[in-house]
Amino acid sequence: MWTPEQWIHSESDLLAAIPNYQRKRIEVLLKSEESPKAAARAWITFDGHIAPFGGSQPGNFEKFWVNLLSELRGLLCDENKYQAERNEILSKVGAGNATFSGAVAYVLAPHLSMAAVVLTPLVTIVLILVIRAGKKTVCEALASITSD
Amino acid sequence: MGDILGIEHKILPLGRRVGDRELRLLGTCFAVARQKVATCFHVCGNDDSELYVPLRVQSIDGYQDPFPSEGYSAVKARMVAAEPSVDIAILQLDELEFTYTDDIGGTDDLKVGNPVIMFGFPHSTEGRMVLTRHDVQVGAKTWLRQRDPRAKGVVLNMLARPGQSGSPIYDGRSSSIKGVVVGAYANAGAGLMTVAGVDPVTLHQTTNAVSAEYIKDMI
Repeated sequence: MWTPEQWIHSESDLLAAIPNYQRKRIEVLLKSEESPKAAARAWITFDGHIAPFGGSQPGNFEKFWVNLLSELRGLLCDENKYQAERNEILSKVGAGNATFSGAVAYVLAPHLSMAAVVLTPLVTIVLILVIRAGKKTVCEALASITSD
Repeated sequence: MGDILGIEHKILPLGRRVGDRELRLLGTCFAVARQKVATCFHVCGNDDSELYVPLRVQSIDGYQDPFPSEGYSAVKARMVAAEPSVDIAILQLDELEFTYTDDIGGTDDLKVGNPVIMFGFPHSTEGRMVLTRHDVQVGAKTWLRQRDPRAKGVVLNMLARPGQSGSPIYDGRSSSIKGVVVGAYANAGAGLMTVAGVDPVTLHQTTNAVSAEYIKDMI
């Protein structure tokens, strides 16, 4: 049965599930930035007055954030969408082959044109926002977050 | 630095396939484990689809063909570790193995004035594929992020060019990799104007490299 609440217990559990090298820096950002969204923006951005020598053009964070919340809400809460993806998450997490946030990032990555290894910490941060929203269910929390 | 024999097998360009045949080069990557390379996160961007490493290995001591149009293959690369806040990504190459990789160090024991050696592919974003060595000096040590968590880095006294992002910086006294080139210092005017494809704001000898120590936890 699909009940996302079973995997979203505590911030420390969510953070423990991402690689150590990412977790260390994200923990600092969650403490120092004004909000989890600001922490996500600070993590994905390499600031420091640098003009990069090559590579890809950076995207628009605000647009990405809206898309991420929308896709995550659709995956976790919309019964009419993402049935195959939910089954894949149940299978991976049930078999112990992935963490919940990792499995969510894996199935959403193609929809957001982002590598799963980049998306996982951002999904984790949104799930931390869900916990901090203090609602009875994950879907109520996501509804309140996306309406902000 | 010791023997650089075989450097052309460990430092490679990185590109993204566009359409059926075109490989658009993005920057430089270098071997850090048996089947892994490191580069700057901004070289790949958020999306690791269609990333390839061309295998057009030309001896650095020979005359290199700057614009090879055919006669080489490319292996697919996928992102297996990413830390945008220090601008480093690790890519897995399932179809290639490196028999030897260099020691990964960091910038802590570098001092201002120390000689360092950079290997990379300047102008590769224009399709030019020439592995080039630059012998430079450390001009300063600096924090590359304004706020916590910070990122250690150094300033190199050279004018680096597009395509050199992701280039490894070797200690001039050993063969240890100390840093990764990330880009030029740029003030708020960066990106507002280009002249013949060049941003004038980047025309100076203040090139930044992030400490390579962050790679160790990622491989």
